[in-house]
Amino acid sequence: MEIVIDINAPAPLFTQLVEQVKQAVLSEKMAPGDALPSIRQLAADLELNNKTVAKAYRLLERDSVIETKGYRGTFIHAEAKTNSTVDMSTWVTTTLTATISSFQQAGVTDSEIRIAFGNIMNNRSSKG
Amino acid sequence: MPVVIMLILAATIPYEELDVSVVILFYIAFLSQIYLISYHYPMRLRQRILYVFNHYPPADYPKLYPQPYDYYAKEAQKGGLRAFRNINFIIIGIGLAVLAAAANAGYSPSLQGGDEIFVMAYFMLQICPLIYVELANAKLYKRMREVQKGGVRKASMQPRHLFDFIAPVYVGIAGFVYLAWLTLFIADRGLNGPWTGEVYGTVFGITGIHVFYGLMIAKHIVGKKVDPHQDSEDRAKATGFIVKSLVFSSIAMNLFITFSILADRYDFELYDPLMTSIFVQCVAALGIGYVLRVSKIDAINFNVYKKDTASE
Repeated sequence: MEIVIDINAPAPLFTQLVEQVKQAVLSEKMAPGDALPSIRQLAADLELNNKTVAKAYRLLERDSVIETKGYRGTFIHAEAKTNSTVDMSTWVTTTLTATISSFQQAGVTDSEIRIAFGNIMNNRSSKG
Repeated sequence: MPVVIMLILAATIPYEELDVSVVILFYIAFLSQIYLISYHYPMRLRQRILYVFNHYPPADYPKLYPQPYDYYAKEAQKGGLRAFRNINFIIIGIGLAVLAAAANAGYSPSLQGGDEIFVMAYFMLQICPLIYVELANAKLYKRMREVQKGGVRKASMQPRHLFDFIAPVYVGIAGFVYLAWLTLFIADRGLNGPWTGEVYGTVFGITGIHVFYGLMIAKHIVGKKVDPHQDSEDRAKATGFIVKSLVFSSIAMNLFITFSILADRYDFELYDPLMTSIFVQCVAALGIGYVLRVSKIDAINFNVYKKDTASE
């Protein structure tokens, strides 16, 4: 299976990688247990920074599409096909839209929402 | 094959005829070295390059030719190849002149050894045009990568490991013969006297060559794509050829240097020039010869170099 990255496309490179791996799982080009190339190998082949590929792998691992088995390498997760249908960014957008709508119905202004959201995110990143 | 025949001949020489026969065998080996490294392989390489120019022209395969079209005009291509052929002919002339002068002077290899340095020096001269071709190739790929910057990039999602390209037994043999040489060398030189600069130099030099081979193998397996357009399958095949070639060369080198130690210890340095000539022919056969033999030009996917790649 071949992965294709378009450097000039508007979508970030790591997103293109994540989406293509998920598409490959959904179209059964990659099956559970299949081995994936190392971060270094894939980064070298695509002439990308190692960190870009590492970020894509991290997101795929978070979504349980791939799993890392120590020194043995990275493999397609047993539940990858089911997990590939979950779109975290759509879920976040839907949840946030619903929450913001309920705030607005309660009379909270947009600037109050922005300040509160900014404070929460800032506190989280300073703790993290 | 000529190498095997020469080894068999060397082993069957009666002791009383040894000196004369070794001289004759050395002349045969040296002639074979001249033919193989300065005529046979360069001409096959030249034919291969001409075949690519004629069958995959710049108009149909623009990605294969990253320089402006004029750069590849028929005369310009042929000029470079003509120079490559002529330089090899000059080297052949030098080799034959040296051989004729040696025969005329009644040369026979020194019993104390040391003559092999001339065989090695001639080999270094012989590989200069081949190194030039390799450097020109590297320059071409570099230019291809520069032109390719931006746009679409492809990669196989198949992981690559050393043993995908070579059977573990060969890597084991390479490790074993290296350790055998190291043990023999240390037992012969290191334990019988002080560790001089020469002893350190040899141990670090030979180990360094092996480390370099290892790094080359790693670079080809997980390193950057040399040819940005190369088909994944072709890349896997090319990596396989290079890995095998380097591992086999390492085995040949260790066997040769082990022989050199034994020749020193058991006073048969007479064979040194002959064995050196056989060794350099093995290196050429395992390097360029092996790649030319197994990497068939028709099996390469040239569609990836077309403007609109049909393979995509």
